Amino acid sequence: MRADNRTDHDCATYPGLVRLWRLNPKRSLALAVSRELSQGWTEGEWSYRRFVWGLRIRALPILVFPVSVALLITLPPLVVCLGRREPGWFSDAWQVTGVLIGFALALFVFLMEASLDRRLRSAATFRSVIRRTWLEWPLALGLTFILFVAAAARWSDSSSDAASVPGWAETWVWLLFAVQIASFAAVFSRGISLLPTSSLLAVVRDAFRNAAREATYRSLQRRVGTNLFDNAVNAAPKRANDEPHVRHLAFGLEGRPISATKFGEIADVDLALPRKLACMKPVGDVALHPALTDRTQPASYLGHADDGLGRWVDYEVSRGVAVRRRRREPDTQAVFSEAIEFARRALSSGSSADLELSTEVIVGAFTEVAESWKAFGLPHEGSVVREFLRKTVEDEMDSDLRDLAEDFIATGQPRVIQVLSLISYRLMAAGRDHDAPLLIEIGLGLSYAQTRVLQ
Amino acid sequence: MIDDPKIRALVVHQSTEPVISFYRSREFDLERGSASDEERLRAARDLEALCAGIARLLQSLLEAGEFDGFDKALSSWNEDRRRETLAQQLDDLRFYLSHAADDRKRELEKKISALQPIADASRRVRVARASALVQLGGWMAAELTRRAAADAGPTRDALTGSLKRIAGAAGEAEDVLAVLSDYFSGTHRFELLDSWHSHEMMAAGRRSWSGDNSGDGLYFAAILLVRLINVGDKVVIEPTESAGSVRHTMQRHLDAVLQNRERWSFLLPEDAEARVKHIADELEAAEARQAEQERRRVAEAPLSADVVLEFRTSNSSSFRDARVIAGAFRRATRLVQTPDAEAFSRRGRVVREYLPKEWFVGGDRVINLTDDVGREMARDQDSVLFEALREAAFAERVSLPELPARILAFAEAIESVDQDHALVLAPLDFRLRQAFSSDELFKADADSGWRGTLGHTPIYFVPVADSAPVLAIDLTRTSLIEYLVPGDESPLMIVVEPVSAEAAEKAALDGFRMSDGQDDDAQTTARRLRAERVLLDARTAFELAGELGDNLALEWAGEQPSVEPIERG
Repeated sequence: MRADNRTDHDCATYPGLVRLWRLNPKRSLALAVSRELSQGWTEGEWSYRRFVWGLRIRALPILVFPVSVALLITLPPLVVCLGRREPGWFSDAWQVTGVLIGFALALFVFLMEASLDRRLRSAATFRSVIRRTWLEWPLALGLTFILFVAAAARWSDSSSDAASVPGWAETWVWLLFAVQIASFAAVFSRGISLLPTSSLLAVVRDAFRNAAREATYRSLQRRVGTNLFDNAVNAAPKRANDEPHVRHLAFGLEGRPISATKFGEIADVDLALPRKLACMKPVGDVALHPALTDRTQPASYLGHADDGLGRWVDYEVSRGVAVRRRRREPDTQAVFSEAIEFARRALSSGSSADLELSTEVIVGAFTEVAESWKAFGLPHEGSVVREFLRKTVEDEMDSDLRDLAEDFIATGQPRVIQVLSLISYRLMAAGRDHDAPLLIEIGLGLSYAQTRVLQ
Repeated sequence: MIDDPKIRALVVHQSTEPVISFYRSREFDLERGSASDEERLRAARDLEALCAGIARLLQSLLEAGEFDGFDKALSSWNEDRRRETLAQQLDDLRFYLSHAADDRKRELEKKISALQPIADASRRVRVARASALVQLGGWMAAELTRRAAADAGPTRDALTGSLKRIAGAAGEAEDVLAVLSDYFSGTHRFELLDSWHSHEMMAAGRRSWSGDNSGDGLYFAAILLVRLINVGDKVVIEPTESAGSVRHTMQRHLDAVLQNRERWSFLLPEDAEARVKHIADELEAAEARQAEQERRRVAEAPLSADVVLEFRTSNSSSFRDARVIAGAFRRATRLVQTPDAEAFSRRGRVVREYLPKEWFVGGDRVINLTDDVGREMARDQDSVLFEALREAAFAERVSLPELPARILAFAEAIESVDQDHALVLAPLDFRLRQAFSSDELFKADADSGWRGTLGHTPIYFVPVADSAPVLAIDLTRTSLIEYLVPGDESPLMIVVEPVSAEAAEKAALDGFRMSDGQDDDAQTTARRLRAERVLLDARTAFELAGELGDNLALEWAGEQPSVEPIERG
């Protein structure tokens, strides 16, 4: 192999790379994938946007979004109030807010205890509990209000000739206070509605809906992204003998690995990267295999290049692949484990109502997974859902369910064994109602697992 | 492991009942006229999956020794609810149509055409159910055979009873024949009997590895055919392509069933022998009928422009790749007169022999062998040229045993003028292994093909590059060795004396085996198949070959060949 004498860049970390191509819809793989997925989305364009923004917001710490909104709506009256005479009711209002925040925190602790008591321990369920009560909003509004009052008091002018706060600003602040009080009332009301055990179904389904849709979205991002990138590689210029300069997913290619430079996950890939590399007419082969959402670390590979190729290839690849902070995996497994745990607890306590409820929770979780595929316009079938060498959400849930079935049968209690039969039938019925053949397969599998216990 | 019989019975009941109840509810959805067409088709799809699942459940019950549970579940699954079936509805509609007034006919035809897809789906469900029972029965029959010697106890009796029930539930001969047709045409697999087919439920159940036992299913299907087809019944097999395979394989299994008649006496009727003979005759007649039908279809069908285009493209490429010495060939043509068109007339015969018309009429079948023609024509073209070169004045003749020494002399000659040298032998030719001892020749990695050394001269057996020194050898047809150095206009040529015709044929077959991994049977079968096929008529074959030949001639002259599709009625 001839040596590649092109100038090498310093490729230790490639600091300061600006990837403006990420803003170009024709070059950004993430944007192309999102466009593709939005076309298949069955619930309308706005719903898709809401879903994508919901994903981004849920990736943030829980209070960030409400606090940002609260700050934004508090800022205009604050700017006006500074340097003016503070209205007298401000100093009383913040105390009321403080007390309500205290109550809200007590409610929060109480709800968390109730959740723990039901074996709900995952972060996703906690978030679901908080989001279902809207607790984050009055907390954010209250804390911001207290900050506002403190700032207004600190920079107020108490002299008699000081200008008073304009009427519209005082009304604005009063409205903020009123919204706070109303939101606290709403939180208490919704918090109480979560106390009965039956509310568990809603909490888990809510948590599961988000997690399942996120898991499906990530899976589709990876798969659609791989197809689109494959097209881009195939469209790149080739050698005179029709052999490609750049390959995609070339297994078994020998050569120097092109490593990622930091920890995280692949957020975006430049669709023009294969063409750019091919236009440089490298003297050896380059194989690229970055896939959206794949984990990266300095030891992981984005591709391979023939040994004779210079480091400019690494530089170009690094410019063409955007890595972001690793996002947490969707909590489907954790939430479903809680549902299974709840069923086990119902088994040990012998509560028929809880057993019945656990059946609904388990079937509801599976139904949410099926619905998440339908939302993207895809049938919930094994051939669509399953990926090569990857365990799907359904596989993991199915495995947990079969373990549960073994435990149920081991009790030897007829009532408990009948619950399995109920779950099996309901899963199949859900498959029928939601046009999800994979649910029927899972229901069948559960029955099969029961007969295997007899051997 | 659960020992309490009550709990075991409960588990059996609770595991099978929901599935069978669900099956019935979907069956009802399929048959229900008030449901939408889409819903009914979905029900059919679910029922097909459920049939396979229920068979697996039943098998699992047998493995657990739950024979009573098995019998109850089987009878529950096969419970006759005596509902009006879709086929009956269709028959009724057709009857009304034949007696209806003209103004009602259109309405009835519309109804029939709307009902037809549902009836087809319903039929698929029936076939899926029959397949499940055939597989289950096959597994049980094999199990029974395995236990025949070792275990004469109640287990065997129970299995016998269950097998009888399975055979009784298998439906109609038409369904079993449809299962066989699907199996032989490759659209259906006996997943229950085939461990190669990984299934989620199998994995979860930690089943042991047992390989592909699909033959057990065919054997039980043969038993069912003998039970279900009376002397005088007509046997209909579809689709047409699989009739031959069904006949050959089923004949074997039917014979085996007759040989073990005693063992299966509880399943076979008294006149089993007569029935087997009748079935064999019917299968043969069905095969002949369907072969004739297929011949007629192919003869009447027009050529598909897409397939012709694909054929031309792939053959142009295989022709280009298969020529012995592309670079050397071009140089050599300057030394002898280019063979005229008459010399290539053999290609017409080659095309006609290798190209049955069925390949060109389109359809679902995938043909992968069409680029053989290009390869064959390349050899043909080479041989014509070599024939001419044999007579050239500069040819030097050696015998096969002298070949290594002569090649060594080449190597030394090159060494004397060029230190950085190599011999490139092309094409990779299996018979070179006869000319070199094994320590001189060894297999390198897949990319570089064979390589070896002669003295200090490395030899690479790879496709020839235009710029490389070339030593081309083709012993198959021409016994020619040609050696060219770039820039040297006078080639050094050796012609190896031809070996006897028998030896050449044997060498060719050896090489065919080594290079393609096929055996005599495969070749015989291929020849037989070729002989049985409907061939293109001679004029069309020559036209095709002519156009292909023209394109290849253009390509030879360095021009872009035309690959436009031709229009044919």
